[in-house]
Amino acid sequence: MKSILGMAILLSYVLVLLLIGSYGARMTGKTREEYFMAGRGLGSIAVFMTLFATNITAFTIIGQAGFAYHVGFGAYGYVIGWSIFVTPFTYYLIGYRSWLLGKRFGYATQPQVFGGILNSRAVSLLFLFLLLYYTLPYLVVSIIGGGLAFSTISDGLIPYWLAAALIVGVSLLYTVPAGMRGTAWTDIFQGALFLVISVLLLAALVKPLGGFAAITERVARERPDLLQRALSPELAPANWFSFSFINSIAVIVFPQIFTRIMASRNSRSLKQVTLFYPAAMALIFGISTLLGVWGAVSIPGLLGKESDNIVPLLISRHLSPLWTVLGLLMILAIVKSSIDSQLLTVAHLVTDDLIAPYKQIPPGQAVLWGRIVLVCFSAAAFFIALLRPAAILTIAAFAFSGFSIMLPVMIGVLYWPRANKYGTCAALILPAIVLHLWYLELLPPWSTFGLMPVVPAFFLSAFTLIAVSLLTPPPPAALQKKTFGFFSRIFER
Amino acid sequence: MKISKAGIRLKVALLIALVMFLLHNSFWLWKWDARVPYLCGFMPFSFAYYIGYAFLATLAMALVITLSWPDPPPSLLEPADRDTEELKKR
Repeated sequence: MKSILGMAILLSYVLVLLLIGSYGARMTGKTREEYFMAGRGLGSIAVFMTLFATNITAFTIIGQAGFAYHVGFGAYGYVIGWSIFVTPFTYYLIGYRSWLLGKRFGYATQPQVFGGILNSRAVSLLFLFLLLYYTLPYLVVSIIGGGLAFSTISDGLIPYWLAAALIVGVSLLYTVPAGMRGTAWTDIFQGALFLVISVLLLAALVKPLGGFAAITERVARERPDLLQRALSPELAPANWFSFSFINSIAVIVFPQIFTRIMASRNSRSLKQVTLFYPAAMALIFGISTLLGVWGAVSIPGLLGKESDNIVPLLISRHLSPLWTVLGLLMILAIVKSSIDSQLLTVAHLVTDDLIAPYKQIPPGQAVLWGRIVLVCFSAAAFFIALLRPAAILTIAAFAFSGFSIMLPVMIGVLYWPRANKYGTCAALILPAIVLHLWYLELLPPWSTFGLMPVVPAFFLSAFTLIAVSLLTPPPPAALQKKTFGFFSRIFER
Repeated sequence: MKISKAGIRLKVALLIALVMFLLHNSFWLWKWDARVPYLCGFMPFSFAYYIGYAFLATLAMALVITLSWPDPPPSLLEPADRDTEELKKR
């Protein structure tokens, strides 16, 4: 009876997604702008929910809880603390100026914005290459993580390959017909779904564990190290400081986040997003942190990555089987809401910035090309996720760092009229090479000054942009005026 | 060198970001993890601090918006520099 109910819940979820996708497809016009950017008409709730749901991955519930299991309450500040402020701040610092340029000059992606400001095809192609280079492994790892999480929480009933196929397949069912509208509208549904389930899950687990205060007292008695950040070697100040440069500042560089900002209807929508964001991130990561710490005293003894199973273990130990279905639903919603956005954005980048500049696509066929690219990349990502090649996993391990070190370039080009194409190209290439050398251990560890490699690479990027730009000719005055004259008419009023 | 009003407002916004960065990397407060009573009876300082930080982040963003985020006049957002028809086709 319960399995029938569980199946009915899962099918209802898929049905709702299909209905939203089908409605989105009817509302979507036949142009690339409509398909990939929802006609730049996303309102406050759609932008907020699609950014939030895209930003939340399987790590939020599975990985964060597993990390908190070992290091305690400090995991909260370490992983998400700085991000609570700096992510919305970068939406202002970079997102708003890029959005203004997008509205004025028709830009939709980073290659278009930054290549457009500097009028440089090389800058465009470098952005495109680096974004695809870091996004594709990240996408594959998201599918692997989602597939494993889905399979684990179903207690092995759904094998990994089927879980991965379901995640990619269901995402395509609404993304292919409805494009950006499909992903944004389903993100509203999926984001609300995983927020509600995670709050209910926390509330349901409190009672069998003895109540909020009793659990914390038990943690203080049995694992006092989980209450104090200074007692955790993983949270050493050098790591804590370094991590501020990885997780938090990379978000605006993710192309799936950037394009969603560009699809906002107006400035008011973006402002509201930055105000909603801190509370939403604090809530979802707070829940997963609590679940991890509670698991450490309720189900002690898990070693290493075993702790990533702590949420499914808490559910199966303390709650009814129906909660397993709700847990599956939560994982599915979290994983799919980020994977569908990544798939669509990769298709967008390839169609708009790789194919369109070299091949004249008739207006009537633009969306068809986008859909073909989307299906091809999805199939490729799925098969790579099945094979799990080591090279992909290695690149994914430092993809966040790779995104982070592109941030100084984005800030520099948007704020410093003297930044030129030579400085930009050098600041994209040199730090990326050095970052690889550090991660592949071809440079000695002392050369990072005891910090994570991303920190010196970040400052190297800023230094290279400034130094090379100053040593080479400035951009033509007309080019500077096009962007900065436009900005001054808005900001100097 | 003359600094524009917009430049000053941007610098204030960056100063707010710097303060928030310092408040995140506030290692000197870590000793309070073991001393401060639990918030609401169950949240230790290391956790409760970031609940407060989230509220502060919202206030900080509200301040940034008020200071340095002007709304553009619609006329300035009219497509320029490219043929409008070309944009429509895309």
